[in-house]
Amino acid sequence: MPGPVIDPSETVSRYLFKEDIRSDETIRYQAFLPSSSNPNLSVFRVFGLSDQEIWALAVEKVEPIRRKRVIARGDLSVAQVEEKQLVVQPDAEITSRHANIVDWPPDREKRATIAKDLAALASQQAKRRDQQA
Amino acid sequence: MTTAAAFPSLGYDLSGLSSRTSRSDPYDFLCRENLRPPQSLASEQVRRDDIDERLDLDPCYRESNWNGEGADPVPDAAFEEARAFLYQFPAILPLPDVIAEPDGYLGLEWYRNKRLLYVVSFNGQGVLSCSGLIGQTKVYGTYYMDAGVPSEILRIITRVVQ
Repeated sequence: MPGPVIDPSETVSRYLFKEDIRSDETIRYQAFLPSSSNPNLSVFRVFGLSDQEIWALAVEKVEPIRRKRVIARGDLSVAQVEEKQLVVQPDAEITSRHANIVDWPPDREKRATIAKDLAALASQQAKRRDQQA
Repeated sequence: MTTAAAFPSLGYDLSGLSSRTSRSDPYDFLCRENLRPPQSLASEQVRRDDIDERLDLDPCYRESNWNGEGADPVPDAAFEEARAFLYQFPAILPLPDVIAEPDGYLGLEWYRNKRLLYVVSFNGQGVLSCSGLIGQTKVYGTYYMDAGVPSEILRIITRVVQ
């Protein structure tokens, strides 16, 4: 289980849906763009989990909220996020493994550009195999 | 606010972008680039039909929280702004993908690869919110469509798709 303090070497996963993936299998930027009214980007800390457990986390925590199937994920290191002057803020309840990427700049164009950069960095996403559905 | 980083290999100075841009007729720009505007009314109608089809997104994007993570609704006016933009957009350039963005904007994405893309976003308030990646360089800025598609936007899109 990850600790209460985020280590820069930790990996966080952003779960992705069909509309988040282009035909060339890169990640669309809007998957990493927060809303204006809630400028937190939801991610999960996958430290110590097997690939199967990472997908199980999506089934348990994400699909019921989004009401659709997670088909892939974009993995980023915390260091990559912090390089963009953002902060990975873990939930108080560590066992949830949930965290938010916060401290987005107020300027909308800067946020949109960072989202494109994160999507490009995370484009080596793992695709969920059918047997894990 | 407008900011853009200079990128020498582009052949033009992105740092010169301004929020109230000096516009030129897009066709003037395209003629300078040795490109030709469309001629046929029939082909123009086909293109308009294509634009309308691209903008025909699922109505769910007009509602709050359409992504289950607090997404802002994309207002009808954003669709109309995007339509007006694309109707004026030079036919020699390809049409973009249309994307509902979680912060309530409607994005038009010109994409070559994950490090060469440009998005013009609309929120129904008359502002063009633009951002993209040109290699390792980030380009972004705000523009207004007072009298046509800003020439700086055309220059960057041409760089992405050429």
